[in-house]
Amino acid sequence: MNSLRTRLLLWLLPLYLLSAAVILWANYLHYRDSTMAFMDGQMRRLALAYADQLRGDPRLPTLPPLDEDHVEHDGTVAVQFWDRDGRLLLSSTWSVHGLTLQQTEGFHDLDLDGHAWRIYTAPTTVPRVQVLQSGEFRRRVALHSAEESAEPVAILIPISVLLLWLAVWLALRPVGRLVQVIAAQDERSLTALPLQQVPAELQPLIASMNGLLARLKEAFAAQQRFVQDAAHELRTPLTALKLQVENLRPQLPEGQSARLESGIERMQRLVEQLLRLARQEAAPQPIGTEPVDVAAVLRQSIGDLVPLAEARDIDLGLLSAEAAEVRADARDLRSIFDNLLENALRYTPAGGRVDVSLKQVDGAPQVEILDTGPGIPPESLERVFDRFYRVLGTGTQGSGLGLAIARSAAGRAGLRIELVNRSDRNGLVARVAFTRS
Amino acid sequence: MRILLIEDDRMVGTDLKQALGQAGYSVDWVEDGVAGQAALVQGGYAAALLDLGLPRRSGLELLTAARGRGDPTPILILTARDGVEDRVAGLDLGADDYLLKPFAFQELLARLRAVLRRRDGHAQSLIGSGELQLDLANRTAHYHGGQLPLSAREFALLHALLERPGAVLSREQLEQRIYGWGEEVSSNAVEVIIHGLRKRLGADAIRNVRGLGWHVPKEAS
Repeated sequence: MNSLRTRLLLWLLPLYLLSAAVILWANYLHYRDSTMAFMDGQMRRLALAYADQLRGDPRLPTLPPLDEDHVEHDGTVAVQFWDRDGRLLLSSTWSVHGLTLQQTEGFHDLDLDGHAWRIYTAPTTVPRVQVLQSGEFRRRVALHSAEESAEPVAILIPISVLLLWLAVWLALRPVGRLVQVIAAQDERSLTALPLQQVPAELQPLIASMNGLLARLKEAFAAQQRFVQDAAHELRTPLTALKLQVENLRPQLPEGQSARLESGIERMQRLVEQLLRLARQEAAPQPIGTEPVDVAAVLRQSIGDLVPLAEARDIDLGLLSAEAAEVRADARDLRSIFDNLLENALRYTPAGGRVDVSLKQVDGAPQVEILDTGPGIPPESLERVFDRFYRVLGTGTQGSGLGLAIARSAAGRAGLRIELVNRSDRNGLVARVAFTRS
Repeated sequence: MRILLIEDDRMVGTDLKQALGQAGYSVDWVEDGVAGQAALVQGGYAAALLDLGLPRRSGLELLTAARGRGDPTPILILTARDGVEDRVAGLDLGADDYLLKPFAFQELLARLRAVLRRRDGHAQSLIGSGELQLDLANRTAHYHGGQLPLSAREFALLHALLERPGAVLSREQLEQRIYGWGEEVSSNAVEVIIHGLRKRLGADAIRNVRGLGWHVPKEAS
């Protein structure tokens, strides 16, 4: 339970419910007491009225008869007259077993045979007046009035819990906004997070994150600078070498300048591939990538490699390209296709054929590159992805980095590359399987 | 023809000067940005080859200053920086072309010739690749030195292909260029036009890439 919102609510809700309960209890006590006092007053006024009447005229008045139902359920006050010796002279209700004339005047609470009674004995007259009311009824009335007073509070509880939740949500909204700002960042836009509109409690966190971002930006920039510098330092001597061969051409036998050139060409390819790998691995994992049109990337890749295919007299073509979109960095896809295609074109003998297709297989896009080259010996199929590993005896001088670059890009994009020898003839199938469409 | 070479690397400078000399150009070579700027101000060069990473004054500053003065000397950037931003910045600041090191010398010569042709004005309306060029002014193709008149549709199609030699254009892209919006397109119109052009220009002038479309091969690759 590490959610700030949950924790806040876990603290606030019980506190809130507890205070609501205390309010309800205090309400209940207050209403009970005032109801009781009100009913006591009624009893006392009734008893004193009879007492007054008896002082003027000692004859007993007639009392309306009351049955048990009235007394117990409706709470009607029963009246009794007693003589000086404590004998019951007249009662408006049945005789209550065990009830005697109370010796002191005033209020008394009695429990007679399991029935609670409230009794008021009037100040001395002849005969004595005593009134009584059902304790059960009094309790019911007090409870009822307390309930009625509690109703608004009870209705307010769920409403204020909702308001509480809303307040917590509003208080935490700046955090959600920060999350969006952070999610929108990538290695090319490491900008400091906004400090305004952020709660004071979060500002130290944001400030230290901004420090981290700044250092990260610095590190990326340093890495980029290194790759740029390396590119420059490696390419410049190659340029000079190429020009020297050009200058020497008139003095060199035909075959020799061609061999020199192909050696430089190979060096150049190696340098470019090394730079590509360094750049790709220096780039951080892409986050929040946009959907990419696989067919469009594939077409660009093929289009750019047409000159190589023509130079090597290889019939390069796109057999099918179904519409497919995937969430990946287009540069990673491009790197995968470029390297797999280049491999196919380099290892296929002149006059051969390279066919590319993009299909939906089991709901996920899949790219296949079929060549008519020698294929790969089964024992080397896994090792060809290692850096600088080369299959012996192919007569082709690759950099040994193409498949390593492709696999590293595939790892970043979350794709799988499979190499399978063709079953219908010599040749290799390079398959790029997308796991999600 | 005098060419100004602004390049700080001794090895590249020496060899490039020699190679350009063998190709018939006379080359003045300076090794830093300040000397480069002075030479440009002095003027009299048919074109300048400019490295970007120069000591004392960067190539891009030089370029900005030259174009700010209204110096029309064609400037070709030679650099080992391959960032797209660098390329765009260079061309935006008024460079005539941008060549990445290490380049093939033949490619440099071709680009240099193209830049010089453009400077001479008569190439303003010429686009194309090597042997095949299109004259936008009078709608003719120049091929192996000869001139071929073109129909409107042939011209539109070649124009599309020669805007970026080497780029593969799909049938849909070509059809859009040949016809106005909403006009009926017969299913094999593009093939018919290309067939006709190949008959006159040679089978290799326009090449097909299966499943992708057509392109005109780039001159020096």
